[in-house]
Amino acid sequence: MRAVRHGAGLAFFFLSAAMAAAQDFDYGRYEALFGEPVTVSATGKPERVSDTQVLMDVITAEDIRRSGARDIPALVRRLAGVDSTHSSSGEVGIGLGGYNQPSSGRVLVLINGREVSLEGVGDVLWSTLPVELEEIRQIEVLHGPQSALYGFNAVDGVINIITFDPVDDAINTAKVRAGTQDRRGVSAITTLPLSDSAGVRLAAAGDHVEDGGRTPFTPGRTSVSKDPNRRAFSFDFGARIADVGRVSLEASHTDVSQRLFYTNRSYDTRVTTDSAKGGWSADTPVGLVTATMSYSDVTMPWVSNPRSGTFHVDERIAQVGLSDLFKLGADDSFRVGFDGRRDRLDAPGLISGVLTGDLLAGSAMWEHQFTNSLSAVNAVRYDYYKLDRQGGGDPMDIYRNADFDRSDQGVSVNSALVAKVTEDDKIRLSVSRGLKLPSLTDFAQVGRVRPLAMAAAPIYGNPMLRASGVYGYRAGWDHQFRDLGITSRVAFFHDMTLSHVDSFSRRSHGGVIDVTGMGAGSVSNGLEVGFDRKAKEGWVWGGNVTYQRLHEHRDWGLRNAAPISKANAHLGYSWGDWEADLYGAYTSRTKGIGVTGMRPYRRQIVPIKEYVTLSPRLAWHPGDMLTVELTADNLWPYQDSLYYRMETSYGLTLRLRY
Amino acid sequence: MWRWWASGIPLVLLTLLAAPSQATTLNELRVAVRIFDFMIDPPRGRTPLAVIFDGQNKASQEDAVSIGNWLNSGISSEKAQFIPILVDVLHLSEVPYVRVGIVAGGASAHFERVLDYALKNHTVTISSDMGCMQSGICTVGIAGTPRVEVVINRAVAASCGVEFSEAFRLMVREY
Repeated sequence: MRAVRHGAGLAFFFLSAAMAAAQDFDYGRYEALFGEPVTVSATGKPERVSDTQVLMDVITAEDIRRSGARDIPALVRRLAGVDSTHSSSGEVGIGLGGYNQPSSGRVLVLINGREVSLEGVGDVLWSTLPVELEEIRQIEVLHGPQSALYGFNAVDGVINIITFDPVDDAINTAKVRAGTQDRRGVSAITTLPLSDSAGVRLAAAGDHVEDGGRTPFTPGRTSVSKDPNRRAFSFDFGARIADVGRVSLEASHTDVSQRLFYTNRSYDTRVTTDSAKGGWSADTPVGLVTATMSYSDVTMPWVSNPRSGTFHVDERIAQVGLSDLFKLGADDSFRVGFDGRRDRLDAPGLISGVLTGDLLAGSAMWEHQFTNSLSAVNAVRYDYYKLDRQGGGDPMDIYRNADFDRSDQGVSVNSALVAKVTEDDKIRLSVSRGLKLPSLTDFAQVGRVRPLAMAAAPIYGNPMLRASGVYGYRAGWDHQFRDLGITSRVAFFHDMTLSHVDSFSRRSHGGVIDVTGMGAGSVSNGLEVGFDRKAKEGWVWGGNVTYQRLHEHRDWGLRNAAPISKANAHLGYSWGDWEADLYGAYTSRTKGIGVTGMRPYRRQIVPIKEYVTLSPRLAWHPGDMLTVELTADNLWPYQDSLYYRMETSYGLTLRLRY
Repeated sequence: MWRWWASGIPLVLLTLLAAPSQATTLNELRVAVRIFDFMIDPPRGRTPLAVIFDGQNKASQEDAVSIGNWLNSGISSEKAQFIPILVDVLHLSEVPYVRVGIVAGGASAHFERVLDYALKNHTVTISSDMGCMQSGICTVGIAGTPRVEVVINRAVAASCGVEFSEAFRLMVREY
């Protein structure tokens, strides 16, 4: 009978709505119940992190508080299997599973389930994210292809940033910080309870740092300089309403100016983002129904370089969706979902005309509990993508609008199981197929942006590009040394990308041009070992080691550029009102594309040295409200890319909680 | 009414005795009271909570007293403040309607009385004695170590008309 009710209800929702899956979920209440972090990111089903079948890491608010980090990439890069590459003071790329090339768009980044990756240019501009560290409940990092839940481009993993709940969590802080390299920042967050079951959180922040860290390979070093400035404001409302369910409304604005690195050139760039998201979830006769709608407008009023000229970018992303989670019997949980998305890119000078990508997707998940110690999850998703271009007319264009009248589609799957071998041992195995869709600029770029000395030819997009399959295989073993309070993990991964977007030379318009196309694929294998001891008092420590090999099948010089081995370590101690922490990192050598500084420009592959760096932190809490924190970043300067040097910096932070 | 209330009074004297085996821990009690918040229609405000024990079992009495003391010391859910009423299972049928109950350890000899009462009053019953849930008496069984476990007996919940939110059902095991 219940199944009949479910079926009828689902039919109703699929026929009547156009809204998307969301995460309007009481994290705090469930975390308090189970005494451990909970998540809905892994399978779309609410679950305890220790129960999930998917290999994931969670950076908690306590981890963030003791990190001394100034931004999210600095936190994430301390996890096993994560690579970072800094291109300027304000720009950093994060890669998972061995892929660390900038603008690869292989890691999906979300804030409370809202996508903040820029599909138009295939990148994540971390500085534009409208979230302050003090607002974050946890950062969930899922490793490997997750397209069966998240769709295109979640092929190396997903980073979902979960903020505190304005209904239940009263976050009230003011922070002032200053440091070397002219670092200065201020932020304030306040939560206003509207009733027992409704609240609003407001956050505002401003940051500045000088545009330092230049190297002999920093392109445009004499012509483009931009001290990164960031201003951010966000509004987060939530309410639990009897007989209606839980509703949420988020709105944000960020305004960032910085030096942006793209195709071996530096650009003076300003980026503004405006976004809004509404969500609703409720217990209904057909299960837990969740719906969201979101809209983002990312505008770059200018992207300027003396040699490439100035162009502007306007990307608008609208997402809708609906999901239903329900349980049939004692052992089977299901999720069905519908997603829709429109991505519109208007970037005169970068592309010709206005390009839109429309996506429709349906997904399903089934989790079965075989025994108390063995469960498995299977998920499948079908994505249909329709490309379209209007306008056009750029004299450098080589395509007609009709060339963009095409579509692509694909199926993603995830299968995973977790077996509790003993009370202290868990084994996780997963197999997945994800889909990597080229970015809108990969489809439609016109040849104005000419990579410096990469070749004489300008690069054009190609509307005939197709989504590429990415296969991931993972195995992990978690062990708890209960008496010592230590958790450990050993994980192995094998990822295979069938095809990458590449560029191929051809003759057109009386000359040679490079046109994007689907090129050779790659394989990435890795082993990750990590351990952690977390405690409120006394010693805390942990670390991880990653050994990975990337095998790219096409050699254009930068092949296999990911570092082979990495290690991170943390040692901390707290006593009385004091806390001291030391973070260390080692990364083996890698390489990058360098360009000679004088004409004729010439490309060369340049090694990047291995590095070890330390970042200590000392905090004093004179009372419950005030924290005084001294931090030093990168006691030994290092480079993780050719174009930017991570200099030593010192900072002082005053944080007031009220 | 005085009989079921009075039956609990002497038990206060037992608080100084050593903790019994199979006793409900403070952590398990915290879990138990939080579970009430995940009911479709959760208890709100000052709510009587029956702490059911076997008066013929000293360990069960001690467990009930500990639970009562912890509840009196302020252990409560997000929505409700629970007023513990210690009830000997032999006198349970005399107790007027109580919507929520915690079954102390060591009460298994008279489990059937707990079920009778729960069915009659639509009472949700929770116990750290998993046997209570497994034998189809308690609505929910909990464990606090080595990690928190929550198991719902679906048949008992359905019989007693107790409903939990779907998200909660997805998060816990069902029996």
